[in-house]
Amino acid sequence: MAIGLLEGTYGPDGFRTCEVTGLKIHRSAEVPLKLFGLTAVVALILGGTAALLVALTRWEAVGLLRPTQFYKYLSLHAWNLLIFWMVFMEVGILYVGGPIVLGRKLPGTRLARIGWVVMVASAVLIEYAIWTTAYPNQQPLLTSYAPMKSSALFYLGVDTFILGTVVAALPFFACIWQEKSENPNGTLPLVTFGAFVTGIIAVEALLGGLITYVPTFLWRIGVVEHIDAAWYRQMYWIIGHGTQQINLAAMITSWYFMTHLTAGAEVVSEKVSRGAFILYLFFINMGAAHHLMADPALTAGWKMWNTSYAMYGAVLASLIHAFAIPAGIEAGRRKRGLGGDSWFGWLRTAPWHDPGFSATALSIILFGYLGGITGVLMGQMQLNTMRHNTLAVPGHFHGTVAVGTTLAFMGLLYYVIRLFFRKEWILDRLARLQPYLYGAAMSIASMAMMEAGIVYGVPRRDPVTTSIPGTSFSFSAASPMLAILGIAAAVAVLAGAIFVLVAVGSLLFGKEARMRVPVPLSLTGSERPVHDFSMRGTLAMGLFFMLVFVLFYAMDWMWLSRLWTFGT
Amino acid sequence: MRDEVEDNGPWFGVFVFVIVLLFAAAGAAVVHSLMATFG
Repeated sequence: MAIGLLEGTYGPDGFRTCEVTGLKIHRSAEVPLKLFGLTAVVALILGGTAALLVALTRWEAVGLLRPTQFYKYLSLHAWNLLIFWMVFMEVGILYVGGPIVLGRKLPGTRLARIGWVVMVASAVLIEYAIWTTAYPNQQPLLTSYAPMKSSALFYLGVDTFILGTVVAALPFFACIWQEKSENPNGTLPLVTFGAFVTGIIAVEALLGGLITYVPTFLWRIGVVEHIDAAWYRQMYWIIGHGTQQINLAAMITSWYFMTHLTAGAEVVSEKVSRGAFILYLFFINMGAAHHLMADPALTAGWKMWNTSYAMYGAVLASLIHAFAIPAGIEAGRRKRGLGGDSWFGWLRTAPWHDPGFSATALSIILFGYLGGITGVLMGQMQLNTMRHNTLAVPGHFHGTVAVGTTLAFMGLLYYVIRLFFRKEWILDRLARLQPYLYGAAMSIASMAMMEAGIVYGVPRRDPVTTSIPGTSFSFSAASPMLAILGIAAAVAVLAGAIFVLVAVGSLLFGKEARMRVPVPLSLTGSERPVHDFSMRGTLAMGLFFMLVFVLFYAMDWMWLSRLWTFGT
Repeated sequence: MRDEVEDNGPWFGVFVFVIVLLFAAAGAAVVHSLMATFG
């Protein structure tokens, strides 16, 4: 059954032509894409199940798990959702952005399969190591900070997972190499360019991971006597945040692809969008430094250079994409004569009934407001002091990864099911509702965490904060926020389960897909260039976003000035 | 070709409802935190 799902109907040369996009798709690229997508969904199921248990523990009135169990499930939650769900999807995105968009074979298919086998085996090893962790080993959580010792199998699993990912990414780079060798003066399509930048950021992050985890493994098995904790922290965040930077670049690549595919978006300026991707290459790695804002081993100058100066190069890139993509939807739809000439007709008539589009659009909006604004605030040394190690930090990164990236990848997978597996979505109305339910619930959970962290200082990673044994001090005033977190997270997990039900159910029981997208790509509209069309609706929304940004920035500085009396 | 463009039915309303809900929640959070500061 599983092998049947991976197969398709191809011509004698191994290619088929997509009826919707017109892309020439080779079997060597499509089969691994399906394989990586399916594996990512398995990680989503495991991590989502752990998420429910973690959330119902942080809702302390429920207090589901004992502390020892809590850290096990928190580790499983982190590794399955922040790493396995994301990285398997991202390798799939490389195969879409490379061979599928370029209409080429995937060179080195065997490497893709070897990479997948090594990644899956490593993921199983990591799950096993976390599941069987016993004293004196400690649960690694995501950071596995040395000199706290975790199972040697865990470090070994991380090393091999990184190697497997590098192996799986190699065919993508070979594909780009072949394309540029044969067409040295040709320009890569923007989606391929975005995937290429994602791949470079990934290589940097993965090398950082090997620099971190190989010595740590050797230290854990006794080959290396000492590991410097400060060195570990600085090296770790090359991959610790680097993986999230891969998420960002892959998510934005997916935004360009999906808005074009589902809503008729165009790229209004190739140079500007490519320039923004290049800014990521140079500056986004500096963003990792914001994890070390309270680190005593680093100087204030080092922290400020990397965050309050260099990181703004990446923030500028994100702001460019945040304008360019909605502007591409607006101008592209106006060019096609969709939505009339009013300010927001293009938005009102957009395919909000289509989960591929609605998940992508909600990802863009909610990532910007929840993850983007808070990321800039907490990435600044002064303002970071209010959030450091509080529940506001998970509040931020659930805004980026759990809302933004996960929604984007869900939207992409809806179309992987339709265009690559060629299956119609089952439970159609539930599928249409799912992105809204998930986006709303996960956003509220994210905001509840931010509120609990900023207003009450509730610590992250701590399952007992409202009745701490041995002291009268507690964070019990934050109980309503923790209740909102628990309820909203449970609804988000339900929405995630609906996604899995629709995805897996469609693969198993879906009818053969009627190959279509909400706005036919053949509808080209006016002959005028896309940048001739008005983008005033996007400009208005962009100015509103900047207003909210400035408002939160000002409030944070106001709160910082009152730090010692805040919340009393 | 134009008639092949799908109509979004009531779903733009669902989108607006979700966005209004989330901005209301964010607004309530801001008011709550200001009350915790000054109240």
